[in-house]
Amino acid sequence: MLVPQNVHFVLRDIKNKVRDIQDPSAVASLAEWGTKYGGDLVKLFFPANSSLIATKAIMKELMARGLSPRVGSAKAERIDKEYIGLVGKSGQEKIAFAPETGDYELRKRIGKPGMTDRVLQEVVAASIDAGIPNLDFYLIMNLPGETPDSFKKTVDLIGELHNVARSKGLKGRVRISAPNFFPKAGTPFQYAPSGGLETYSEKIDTLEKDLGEIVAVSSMKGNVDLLSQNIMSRGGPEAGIVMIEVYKKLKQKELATGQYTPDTFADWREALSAVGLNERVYFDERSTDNPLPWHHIHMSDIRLDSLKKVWDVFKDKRALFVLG
Amino acid sequence: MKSIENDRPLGQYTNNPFETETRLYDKQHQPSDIPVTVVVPDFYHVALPNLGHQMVEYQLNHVPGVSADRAYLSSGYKLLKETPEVKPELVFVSMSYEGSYLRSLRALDLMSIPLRRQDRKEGYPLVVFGGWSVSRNPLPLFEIADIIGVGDSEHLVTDIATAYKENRDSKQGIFDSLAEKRGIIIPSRYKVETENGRLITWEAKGVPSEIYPNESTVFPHSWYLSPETDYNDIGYYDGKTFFSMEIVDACASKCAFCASGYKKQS
Repeated sequence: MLVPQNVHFVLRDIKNKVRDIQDPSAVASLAEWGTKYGGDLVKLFFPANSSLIATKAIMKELMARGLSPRVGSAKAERIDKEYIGLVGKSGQEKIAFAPETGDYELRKRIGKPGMTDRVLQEVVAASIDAGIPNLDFYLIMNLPGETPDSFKKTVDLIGELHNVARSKGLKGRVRISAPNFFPKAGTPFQYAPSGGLETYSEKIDTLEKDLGEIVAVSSMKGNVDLLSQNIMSRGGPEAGIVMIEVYKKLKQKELATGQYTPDTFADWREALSAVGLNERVYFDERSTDNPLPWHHIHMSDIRLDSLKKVWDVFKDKRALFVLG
Repeated sequence: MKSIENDRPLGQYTNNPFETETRLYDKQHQPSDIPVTVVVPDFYHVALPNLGHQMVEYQLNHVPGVSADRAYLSSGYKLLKETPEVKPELVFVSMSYEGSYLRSLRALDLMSIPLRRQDRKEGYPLVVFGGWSVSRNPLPLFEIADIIGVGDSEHLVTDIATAYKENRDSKQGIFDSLAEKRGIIIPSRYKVETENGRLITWEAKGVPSEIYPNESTVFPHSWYLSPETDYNDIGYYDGKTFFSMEIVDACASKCAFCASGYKKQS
């Protein structure tokens, strides 16, 4: 396979087209209809994925009609002060950004080349200026390619962003959300190894120790989903049989105690063992030479060869700019 | 530090959540209607904002001769069903992330439905799974689901309900009439084997070998308003009620770790 070195890598089969409402009047009319029966606020799903111009126009139209829009996380590199000002004007309690990692080189390689540390600092400052009291930052622990140095940069970045927010007069709190990485079917990282459970706990401990005084840390530490989500996202039919085994155990406990208790790591590990499966299968890197369990499910227009190329380029540590 | 998170114990509600709801459409049913339940195996306050299941229930209630209700989980992992006295013939389970999968078995068990499809002989409800994470990798549900929907729900759920209505006494008849529909998987008609994380056998028996998602042009929005809901991504607004709208369904970015950008874009 021939992939050019150190150049922008373009997936040529990606269509830059999404199903997208861009008519502010139509959105506002629907929102008016919905809220007249008692809705206080209008939640817009996935505006960050939409065009900035359209989203701003929709927010302005909603507010012009006396409605209060609420929006989820924003792509820091795609928004501007006017957008952040609209979020603040709407009375939204918090705004969220998703740097994923503090290591810009890694952030660039996972597909966020426009989100520099400088951009993040600017949107944080603009958010506080806009009167938004609380900030959330979404991170992912154990991203493929994350090194000890990358993780240190993550801790440093959050500290820096908190400093920016505090210097501008942060009124509320900063929170970081830090789940563990697990590969999603149909993405270039479907071949990647999942984030290890022990290193995840260690990283969360470090975040809590180094940042806990200044930010709230939301994590999955101790959450059994750390294990089960890998089995369910990367498994075949055998994963369902494992899950049924787990449920049988929970049912037995319920019959014995009269109380249903949620699943534990031990429940899943015993079920894997009972079915004759190795937990590592759901965590290890997978070869691009073999079909994955979901090989015949085609959820996107993007060819399998393109996903493999992106993964190979990523592993070679070449800059990855995926243009959508 | 001021908290804007909702710290209430999971699944504990001051009132019956269904009694707090405003429904935005008329729902009129006849006693002869086929009872259908749409299940989101999560606690009500996090499940109701899932617009996909509201859309599914809305569509089902517009199929003549069909009457749909909803079910969630509440404190103690008990079933919180809109009309507890009605036993469904058809169950749609909507799941958007892997963390709910095990709870879907809890919901089936609480409705006295055998977990494995091979154990559900005639007389048990037909169980359909769908949703965002299910669409990406439906394989773990192949031993559990009678039918799996891949992609958007529009048309797909009405096709399933209609097929059921027309072949009520014959599971194979239902499967036959759905076999060629886009976005529908009938797991019993595939032979699938995996080994160490790779697919080693995939044989389709009278059904498409390659699965493509059902695609919709409709943007989901709220059909139910309730103050008993949380939206973790925008902050907790105690007692406030949201009208939610999806204004875009896929992401134009292609971040290598995220599934949102890798969706069929029509």
